[in-house]
Amino acid sequence: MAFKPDEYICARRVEEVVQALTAYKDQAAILAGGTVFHELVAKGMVPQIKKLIDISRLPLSYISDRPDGLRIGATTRLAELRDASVLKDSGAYRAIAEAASILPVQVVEMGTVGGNICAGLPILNFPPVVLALDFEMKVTGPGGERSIPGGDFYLDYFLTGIQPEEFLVEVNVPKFPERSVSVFQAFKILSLDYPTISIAVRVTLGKNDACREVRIAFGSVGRVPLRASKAENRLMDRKLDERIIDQAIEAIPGDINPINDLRATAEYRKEISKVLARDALMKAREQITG
Amino acid sequence: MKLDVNGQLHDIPVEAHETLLDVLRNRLGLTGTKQGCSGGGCGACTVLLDGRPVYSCMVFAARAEGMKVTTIEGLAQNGEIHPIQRAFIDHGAVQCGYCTPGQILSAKALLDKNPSPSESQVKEAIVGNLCRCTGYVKIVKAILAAVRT
Repeated sequence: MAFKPDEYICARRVEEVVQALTAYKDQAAILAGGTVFHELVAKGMVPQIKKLIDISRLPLSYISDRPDGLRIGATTRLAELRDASVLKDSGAYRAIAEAASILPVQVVEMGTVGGNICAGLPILNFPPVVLALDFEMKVTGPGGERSIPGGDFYLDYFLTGIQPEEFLVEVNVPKFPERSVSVFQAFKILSLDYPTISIAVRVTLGKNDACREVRIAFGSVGRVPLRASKAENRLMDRKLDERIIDQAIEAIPGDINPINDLRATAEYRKEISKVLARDALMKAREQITG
Repeated sequence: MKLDVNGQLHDIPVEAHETLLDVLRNRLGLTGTKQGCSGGGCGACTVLLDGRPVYSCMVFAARAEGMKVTTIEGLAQNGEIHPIQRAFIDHGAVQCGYCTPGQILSAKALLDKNPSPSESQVKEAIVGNLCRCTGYVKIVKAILAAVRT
């Protein structure tokens, strides 16, 4: 069965989208930037889709820095996140700008934060950032709005906590304490390709440069993005120096579950995960302590 | 739908599944935009949408309504090719030519935004455009030369 949708719905109101999703269910697909969706079309993975719901003209493109945190509209393009001074010039939110920029320009210009999060693919840049920065996904559907915490969001390949009749409208990111930074890095063999493995870390340092809070999350190491909880625990309340970092990263391979594929073997990914974590944590430390 | 391509407004029938690439090549005969992988993996189909580089294989045609599309055919002015096109010829930055329109449009988007980019900014701008012949050195040189013209 070839991909041949019979309707392109250019939605102007949120209610219109919910109505269409309710009416057409799994025959409908939401399009924001469309960059992931077109790749699925090219691979023949979405033959059942009959209704395309374009949400790019809804008023959901914004970045709002508030006292209680950041609110990012679902259709905000990656280019806007890359260029937003509230992200790239901040310590705590910098990983968002970095995740939005380590991609081909053509994807940065069309792709959206919502699409990158909701595709449910651990090879995309945002899934580890969702875990590291405690994103909350605000979704809307026939029953109204609700929020899904980042830790509960990713369920399996292509599967998130969003129900078929719901869609993402906004991402909320908490306000982090002073002396917090975040870093995103992707290890790629070819710059045009998806990462072989990616990492997002967030660190808050307290007295004597001890870790008050630390998050280490990886992409491309399992069916969903994964946190390296054992390594996080080894860093908590410890001074973030090279010796402690070197000890902590040894726990990472036990927390991740990579596969062999054309980009790398599982064994290689387990090894490189430690190197990537070391780099990201050192970079975080430098950014805080100068 | 109405589609503004290179400053010309076209009123054309479009089906829901057709991409901007399909419409440019098959309905408007603008074959300068190349079809490569059809999945955002090569950059041969790069065009400008409201001045921004995009993969035209990854944009449904319906999405482009109300936006300005620029293809390689739209760069020449008054019979003169664009300085970036001239620089590609002068620096031998074309071998088989298949990636060239996409490379040139990515370069144009960069130079329109940043008239004096560094070499690393040029390389960054063409990350999404694969070339299997020239190996990028001459392409980067050509774009940097176009900066100086």
